[in-house]
Amino acid sequence: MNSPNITSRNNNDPIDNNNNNNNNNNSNNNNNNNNIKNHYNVNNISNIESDKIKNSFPDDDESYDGEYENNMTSSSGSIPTDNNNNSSNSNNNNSLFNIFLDEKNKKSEEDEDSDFESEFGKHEYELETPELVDYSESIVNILIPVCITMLICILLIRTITMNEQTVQASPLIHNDINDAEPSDSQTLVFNPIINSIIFLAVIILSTFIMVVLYKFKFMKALYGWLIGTSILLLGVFGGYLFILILIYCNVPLDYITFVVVIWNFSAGGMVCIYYYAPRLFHRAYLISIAVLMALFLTRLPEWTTWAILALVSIYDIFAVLCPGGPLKQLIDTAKKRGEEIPALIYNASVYIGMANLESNDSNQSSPISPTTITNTVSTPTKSQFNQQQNEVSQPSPLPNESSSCSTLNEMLEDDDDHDENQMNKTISSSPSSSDISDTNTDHSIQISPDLTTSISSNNLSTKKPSNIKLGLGDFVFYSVLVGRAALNDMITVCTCFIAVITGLFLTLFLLALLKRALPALPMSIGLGILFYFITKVILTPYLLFIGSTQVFI
Amino acid sequence: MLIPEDDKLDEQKLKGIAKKLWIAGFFLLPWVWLINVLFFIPYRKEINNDTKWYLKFSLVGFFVYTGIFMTWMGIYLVNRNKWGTFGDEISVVIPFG
Repeated sequence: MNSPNITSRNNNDPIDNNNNNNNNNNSNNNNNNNNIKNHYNVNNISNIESDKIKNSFPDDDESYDGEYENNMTSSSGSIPTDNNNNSSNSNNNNSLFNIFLDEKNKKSEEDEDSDFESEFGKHEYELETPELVDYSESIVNILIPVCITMLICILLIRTITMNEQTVQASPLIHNDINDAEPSDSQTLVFNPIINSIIFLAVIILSTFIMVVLYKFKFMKALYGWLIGTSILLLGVFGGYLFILILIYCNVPLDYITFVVVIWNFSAGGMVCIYYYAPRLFHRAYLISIAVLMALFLTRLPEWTTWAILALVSIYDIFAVLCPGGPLKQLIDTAKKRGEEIPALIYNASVYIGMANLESNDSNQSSPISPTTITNTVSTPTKSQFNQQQNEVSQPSPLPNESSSCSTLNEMLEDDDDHDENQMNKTISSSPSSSDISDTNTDHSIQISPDLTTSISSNNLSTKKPSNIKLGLGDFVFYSVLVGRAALNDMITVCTCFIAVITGLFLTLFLLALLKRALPALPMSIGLGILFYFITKVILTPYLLFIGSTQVFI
Repeated sequence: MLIPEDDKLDEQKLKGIAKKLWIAGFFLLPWVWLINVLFFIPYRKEINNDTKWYLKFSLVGFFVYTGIFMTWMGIYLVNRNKWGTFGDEISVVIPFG
């Protein structure tokens, strides 16, 4: 990081509440160009602060006074900036108070809650921070990729199974997709159990190896392993799927082109996933990895699939929530070191950033020069504020910022610079443990560091607050469940799809409440399995009966 | 993942990235060259001339490689039947009919 101002995870920043920024951003987005509301917030903020400090300010002061107050306070030093959520004005007092406490008590925090992840797609956890009100946006942003993954998976499975019925999924596991009805009950019971235990053992072993490698800092081995597995996954499974699609389309292809295409696909995937690449490609490759993995797990025999899903969900609970669980250890170690979790994780904040940023790129980039921003920051005047707001089509945190200089640094980012955005998000999203304990009610407040350094970027943009991370493993197993349903009929697919998403919603909701890494699998998979069998046993016969007897409801 | 998530990019870093991806592209990887160019679109205002040089030739290389492969594919598709056995031998997928 070039700018000293921005807090990296490694640095202990005095900034306690990054969540607040997120909240502010969201709220701002919601109220685009709503000056009145912003003024209102400004007044509230300024009043609260002044009350705290002086106990003398009435609530009805003008916004200018409030801004002045805030500026004075911020310039004086500690600069706790608060941003109010529009919805959470009542909580501001508490939050401010908490913030102050936090500032005094803890200068150092562990940041980062980035949560977890799992090794190459195995388990996931999510991390999160934002307030419930602002939470919906981030939920949507994590739901979209999940839905995309499942939809692609359904489409591909419907396509492939039309062609051929037998595919070897994995040499390790007894696979016979044709024996839909095992002859005797013994095989029916024992094959799935043995298969799933083998599968689980592989997962546990790889997770364990990962944790050990990470704990003892064999980072090169770890990354080598991750890269090797993902390039093999993309190359082998991707190539196989490519051939299947070619067969389906009945198109001839020669080996030379085939090898070049697959080589480009997998090597480009390595660049996109592990190196600098456009965000869109990054997401696309993460999704494609999940899809490929899910496709080939789906082809296991039916009861083996259910056994694996159930076992992995249960294992997920232990791995994430138990004190000694491997994934928990991984997350804790990463937190301790202030590093990213070395695994394939889907970061929802990336999405959030993209959607808003891309739309604004053209508008914002030219008019606002870095100097302007700097000026604004140093001397936030009303005119400049308005000017900026006009220029920035997107609702930016500016209104609040004008009241308090300190907030600016977080908000200012280059729209084009995705990395910066991500950085800020990461910072902002991480709630410290202390924060959580102290300020359960409101996270809307944030304390900002120096203004100038962070402002180097050209454009103003809103930083996206919420930082939900979902392991690729979750994507995989959701897709496996839905894909398994896709082998039957579309009614089952629909119910399972909805059940999985409902489970994800519940998990995310719990995430907002508990504010810790959670296993994402159990609820979704549990609901999914439940609805699969309900649909299969009750709903489908019912619908068929209704359809055949021409009863219309 | 190999890169810190909150990485800040300056000119030198951008140049390094462009150069590395440019070199990587020579291993029959036009896709990486394209990624290289696309990645720098958001940074187009900050890059210096050296970086631009790499990007320009990445784009050129992308088109050259792609052109070569497309030409080959065209030749193959047109001549597959004429080549007979040889055409079948180099085929991954032999279509029906």
